Amino acid sequence: MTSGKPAASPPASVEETAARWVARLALKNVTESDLLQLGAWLAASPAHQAAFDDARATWTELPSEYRPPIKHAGWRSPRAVATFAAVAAAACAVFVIGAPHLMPHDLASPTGAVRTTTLADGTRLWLDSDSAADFHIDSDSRTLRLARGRVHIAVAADPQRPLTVKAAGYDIKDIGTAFTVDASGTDLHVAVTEGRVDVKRGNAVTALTAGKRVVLNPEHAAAPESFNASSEAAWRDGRILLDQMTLRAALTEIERYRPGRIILLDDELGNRRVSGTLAIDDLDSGLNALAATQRLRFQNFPYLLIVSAQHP
Amino acid sequence: MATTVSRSPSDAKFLDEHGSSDLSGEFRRNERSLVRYITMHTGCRATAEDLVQDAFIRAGTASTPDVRNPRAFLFRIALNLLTNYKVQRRRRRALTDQIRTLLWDGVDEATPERHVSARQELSQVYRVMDDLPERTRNVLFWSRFEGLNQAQIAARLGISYQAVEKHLQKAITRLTEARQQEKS
Repeated sequence: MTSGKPAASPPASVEETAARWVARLALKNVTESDLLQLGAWLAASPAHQAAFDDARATWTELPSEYRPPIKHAGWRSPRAVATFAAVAAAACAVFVIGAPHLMPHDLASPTGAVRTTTLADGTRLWLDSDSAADFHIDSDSRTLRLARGRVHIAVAADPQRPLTVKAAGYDIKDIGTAFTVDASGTDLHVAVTEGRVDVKRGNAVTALTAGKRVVLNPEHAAAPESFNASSEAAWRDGRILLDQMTLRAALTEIERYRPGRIILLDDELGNRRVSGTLAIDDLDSGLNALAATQRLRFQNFPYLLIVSAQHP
Repeated sequence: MATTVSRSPSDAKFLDEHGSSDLSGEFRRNERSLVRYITMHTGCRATAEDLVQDAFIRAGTASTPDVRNPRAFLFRIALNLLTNYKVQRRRRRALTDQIRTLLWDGVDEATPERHVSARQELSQVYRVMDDLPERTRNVLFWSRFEGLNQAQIAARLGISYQAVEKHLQKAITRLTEARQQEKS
């Protein structure tokens, strides 16, 4: 090819144009004037309408049961490592103060970030702030070991290879579902958004269905309870949703996403109920707004935020 | 010599400064009732809060604020924004309805039964999906089944907004071609 104007690409075929329209409609990337254009194009020829009907049938009849072929069976999923390698390195750099875990993991997320990935088997994973996990597939099983933090997992169905999440000494066996496992506190929290899981430790098994969550502690019996789905899901959208939560609980939640600790000096203050939404990637604005509406006083130190009441 | 007090945007940092200006104090005192009122009309507290924030900013940076009645001034601005919001929302809903009709009209989602003749078509579809480049396949899957929007898919894959549409177009073209071949 010599210098000069590049050759014009051939005009799109009727099929390609129809596919482009369906793609734009599917992505909701159309304006009112675009729809007028589409109407005109469809009316221009029965061949256009036919091609459009074929393309949209492809979209609407797309089989949801399809799963991509598993490319790698083995300890490290190369794709997952490629996505998170840089992130894990950054996490190691940040945690100079008391970092007990320096072992690299397949999947990791630094403080303040929520990461998502699709594993080799098609399972989707969300890692919350300061979380790490390892994934292993072999011929008859899939295991996700949660080393630290909180993950939400939407499991790709594979009857040949049941998936188990191992965390804090518990085995959480998936039965075709989406669920969240939170090992960041002293107790293990498991919440099911779709389907069912069986949580096992020794001989004790707790079945958990959609809409239920449980706080697990070896000392106490497990008691499933309902939970607020939108509050629970907010972190995956990069938000923290406070819905009449105590200030104490709200600060604990916010603390996950900031380096260092948040200390509340006043117990009474901690019992106050607050509502609102904070963006995880702009916690300072959210905290400032909270300070203004709740009349809080902040004392900011490296790796430490002290919260008290403002005196009139 | 008389001095004039000019209102600059820095005077209007309502949420950060605590009552250093009468106007901002007056606005903040009305914040809760305004948010409550707007929430009733928008049905969503988060939208109401954004809207009220916006009203604060506009009120604070207005060249001629109504200092005699700040509350009325603020409410007027908020109500204008609310009206705009409602108009946009109506338009957005109408557009979404049209899109849904164009794609789904006549499709009975409740009975996705596959007839025997369609089984071959299905395996052909599976084969084409296996052969799609991974990124293209992800765009297809995430937009169709995971409810991700164009911006989210672009962010997740690290590609441009436009590229997402190109991938989806390619996927649909290939699959439609395969289905047509199988039918004939």
